[in-house]
Amino acid sequence: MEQGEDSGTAKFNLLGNFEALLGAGLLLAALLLFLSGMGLRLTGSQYGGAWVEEVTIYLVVWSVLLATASVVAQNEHVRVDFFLGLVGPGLRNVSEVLAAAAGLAFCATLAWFGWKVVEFSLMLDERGLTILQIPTAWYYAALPASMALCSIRYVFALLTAVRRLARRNG
Amino acid sequence: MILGVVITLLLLLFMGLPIFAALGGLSLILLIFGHTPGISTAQVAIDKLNSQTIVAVPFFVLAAQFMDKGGIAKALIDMSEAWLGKLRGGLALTCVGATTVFAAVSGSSVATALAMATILVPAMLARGYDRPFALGVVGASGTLGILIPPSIILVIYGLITESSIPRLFLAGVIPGLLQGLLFAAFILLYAYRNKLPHPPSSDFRHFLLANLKALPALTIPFVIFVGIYGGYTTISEAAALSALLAIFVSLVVYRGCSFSEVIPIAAVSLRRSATIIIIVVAAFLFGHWLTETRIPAKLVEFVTDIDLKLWQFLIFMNITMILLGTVLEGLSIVLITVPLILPLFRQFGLDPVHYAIIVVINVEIAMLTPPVGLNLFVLAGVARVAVTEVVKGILPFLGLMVILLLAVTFMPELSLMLPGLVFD
Repeated sequence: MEQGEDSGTAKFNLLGNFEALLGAGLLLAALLLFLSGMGLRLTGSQYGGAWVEEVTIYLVVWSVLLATASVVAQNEHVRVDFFLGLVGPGLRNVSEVLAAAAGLAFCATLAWFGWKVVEFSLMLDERGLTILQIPTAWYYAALPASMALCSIRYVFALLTAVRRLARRNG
Repeated sequence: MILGVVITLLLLLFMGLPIFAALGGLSLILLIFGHTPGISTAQVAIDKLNSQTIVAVPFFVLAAQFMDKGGIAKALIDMSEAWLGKLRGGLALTCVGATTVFAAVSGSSVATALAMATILVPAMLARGYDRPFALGVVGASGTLGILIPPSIILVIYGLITESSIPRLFLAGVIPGLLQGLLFAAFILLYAYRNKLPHPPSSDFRHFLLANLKALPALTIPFVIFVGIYGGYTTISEAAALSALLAIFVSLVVYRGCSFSEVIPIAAVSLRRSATIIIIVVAAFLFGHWLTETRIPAKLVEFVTDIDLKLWQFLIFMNITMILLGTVLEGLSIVLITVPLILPLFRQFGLDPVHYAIIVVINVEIAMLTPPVGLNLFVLAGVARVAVTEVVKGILPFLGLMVILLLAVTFMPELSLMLPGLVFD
């Protein structure tokens, strides 16, 4: 790997770790909130209710989707790599290019249409049904945000894979 | 057309594309070319995540991660050894006993196999057990993690089929215990044939202490079961409770990890959850495409035309899942095949809860079958041996699991009896 790739990877790993740690913080916050809501419900308190569930779901979905980008960064997404082990390094490089391109196409498309969903929701001023009246767009924004972050990672992965393939082919 | 889609999907997967990109990307292309507006596709993806059940997945994974790191496995092994260790082959029986209990705490097969292998494989080798046998016991027992409730795979299955998760959890209990008993019977037979060591029995004080030490760990399944079946908590609340208890027990009681490790361990668990949930999103898109194209209805027509019987269908699905399991990871088998055959359940009068347990046993087998069995690699990694050695040890247990699969497939009472007793 070239030095530029090294420093680029290091920066992306830092960002990936930041996303995972931020996501972990959100997940733990969701855990405590959810359990508090359960406690309030079981004790018949008036402060609990559907808003706890709504906020918990929003926090968990944001945390998981943020972590998805960091999983791309660490190349930890589940894949069938058995057959790749049977082919030569040349074909493996081609497969890396295809995998990154497919990942980019999927994430970029979902980021684009996900953003359209957010815009539409903002236009209609959609809000949650609970007492908090949270704009639904805040929840919907998790999809384009995560897919955009994944796309950035896939652009980087695609460039690295293409460069590696070009180097192999002289 | 559906055959073409499945073949393309398998080709994309074998080319090394991440499963979410292959399944989701293909579904996205099919939806857009089928004139479904892109915006409604994205809306499906994000709306399907807006459910309380999805929250259970990261919470159960969080609990499993802390149980793996927090010293809970050691306490459960000591307790099982106090009960079973004095028998010939007692350490192998201890492994089955401890994994059965650990499975009731953790919802993950890999977490179960990893937690048990780290402690039990070196201990069995030190007592002169044959290495492939020791690896086989741990690898096969580890799969109990996804059959005995709570099970992450069953939560995902429940999400996809919109089945009752408390029913699914109960359905796994009898087959899970049967699997444990089958393994124990085989181990006893093997132990007497091969004259495995017969350790002296420990004193009563040691017995009592081991059981007392395991009590905090045992509160976790107790709280989950009482919470869910006592009607106090939902599945997601039970998952959250188990995560909180696992963190507390790991930090304060067993001190297997420190406060500074909480966020990093949570981050690792979150990444694992993300790899699962993004594939679930892709499966939702695939399911949406199937519904949009009315393929399920055509499939029902096809099955009626060829006069396929339930038993033929079940044999066909078992063979398909076993074959897919040799090259695909377990969760993918569930997420690719279940949306496709879901409409056939009503056609055949097949209870989705019964089919869930068939699927889970197939996933267990997939975790043990080369070349991509996940537990094989976990064990080979922990014991630093070749995967072939693990496979050699796993083979007799695989045979037992196929027997269990046949029993569960053709005796629906095994999985439906307990949910029927509790809910009907």
